[in-house]
Amino acid sequence: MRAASVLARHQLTILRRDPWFLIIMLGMPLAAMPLLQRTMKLSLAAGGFDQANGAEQVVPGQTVMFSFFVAGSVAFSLFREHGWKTWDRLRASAVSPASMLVGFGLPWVGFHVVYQLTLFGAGAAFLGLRLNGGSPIAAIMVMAAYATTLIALVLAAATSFRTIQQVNALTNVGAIVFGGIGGALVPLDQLPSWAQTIAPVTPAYWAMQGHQSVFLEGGGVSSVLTPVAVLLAGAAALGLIARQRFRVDETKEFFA
Amino acid sequence: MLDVSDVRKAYGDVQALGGVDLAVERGEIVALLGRNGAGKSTLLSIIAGLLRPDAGTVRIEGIDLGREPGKASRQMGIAPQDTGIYPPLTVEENLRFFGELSGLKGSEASARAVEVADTLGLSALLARKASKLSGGEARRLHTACALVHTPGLLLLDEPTVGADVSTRAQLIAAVRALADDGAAVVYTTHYLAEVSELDADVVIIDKGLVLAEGSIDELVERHELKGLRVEFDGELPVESLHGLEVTALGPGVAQLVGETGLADLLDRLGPAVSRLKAVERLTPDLETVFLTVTGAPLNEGSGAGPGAAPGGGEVAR
Repeated sequence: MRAASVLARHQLTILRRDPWFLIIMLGMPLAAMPLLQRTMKLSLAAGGFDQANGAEQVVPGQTVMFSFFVAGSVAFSLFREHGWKTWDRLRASAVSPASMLVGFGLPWVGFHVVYQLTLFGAGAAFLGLRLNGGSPIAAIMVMAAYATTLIALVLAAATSFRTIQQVNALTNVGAIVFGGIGGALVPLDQLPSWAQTIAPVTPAYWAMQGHQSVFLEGGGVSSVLTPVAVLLAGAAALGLIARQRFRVDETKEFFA
Repeated sequence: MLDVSDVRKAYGDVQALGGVDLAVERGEIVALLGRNGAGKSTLLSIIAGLLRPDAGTVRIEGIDLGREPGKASRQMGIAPQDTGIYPPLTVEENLRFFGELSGLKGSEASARAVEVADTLGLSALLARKASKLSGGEARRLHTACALVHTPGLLLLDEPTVGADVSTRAQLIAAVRALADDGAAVVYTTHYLAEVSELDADVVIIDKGLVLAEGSIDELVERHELKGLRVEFDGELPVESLHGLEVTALGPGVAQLVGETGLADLLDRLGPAVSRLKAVERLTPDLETVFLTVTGAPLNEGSGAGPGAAPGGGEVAR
């Protein structure tokens, strides 16, 4: 695991070299949130949450959706090793495949949690997002579980796909389709019934369920245990797929 | 230090390695010579653990690479053929990362990064981003990353490709110094001059088989070649040379192997003698050895590099 920690620190060093990535990924949802807040307030009121100000939907919703885009970075970091021709050097350094996956994935889970906390913090500061008696620990648990699931999903895709474009397609479609069906764009009860039926297959649904429990219903840790458990179970399954499909001698196509 | 035994590898029906044995001791540099596709890079990749052989074993410091890849790999540093460094990181960060990845602790890796940078003339560039390096500097960093953890076995796959004269000299001096300090080095190259400069032993590979091995002097003695190198204006006068053992080296250039003398050659050429630009008596060297052993020149089809031209000899123009 020492090699995994060296790799993880290495990922963060490279990430620090390009702050614009984070600025853009934060700027876009922060710009979208105020535009959609009033509409979301009306949507929540129609669902029975008369006191809601819209931030309870728009902040978690935009965060959940944009998290998909951010999660794509873990695949990008893996594929670019092929573009930089450093992949063979990593392999020759005797880092085990499991350590590689942990080393590539773990920093992005941490980054993802910080990313979500930043957006929620901005929502609290500028859009009036309040816990309303909900537990901050519960909210962080949902964020951590969601981050773990998304990173595991993208790692599973990265180990299965051959080109970075294929992974990009998944994260782009994932953000819009999975996010939309999961209730990140509009509250779930306003989606067509077929969408509500299939929504639980998306990680976005469980993340939104958890955040709704905390921010709309004032729930505590116990109220998010089911969403967190489902997300972590999904993460474990996807992690196993990633480990199973990970072939260090497979050449990936990366167009730098 | 390195013991390769009966290693075989095939890609489908194509045999890349057909039972290769190789032993390299500490302090020894072995230059693998072979044309493109001869099996050099495949052999190096197998030794580095990047490819699995179909059969055979690789032992590094007595450790079986197939059974204990992690332990064996820690003894080894590799600089693959393609330059592989991290463009957004500085020279020092690149070196430190590869050092730590190979088991050095933080402070140890930092100290070694400085030392290796000094060895390869990168000291003044430690704080520079790799993306801002020139081609030669990047190539030196690429090689330096393989040295930073002081490996007992160093694998260098054409380290001087694309390097300028000074980079080439620095790399060769650094490799020689490492071997003098006790490292075993396996070095592939197309440049025969480098083999002499490194004072390396030679292994000639062709079609996945080791055809000859030994020191340059031993090989030259064993495979002494007599003959002439001729150069014509235009095409070779094939009909005039009929009956001689002719190896074409390029357009209008050939090697005539055997006891053919200059007078005999001029007699044979007849009117074609007017197109004869140069005649050179072959003196045995590594290139003639390569030619004798494999039946074709080392740089056939890959452009001539330094050392591609036969050295010495009497030249008549």
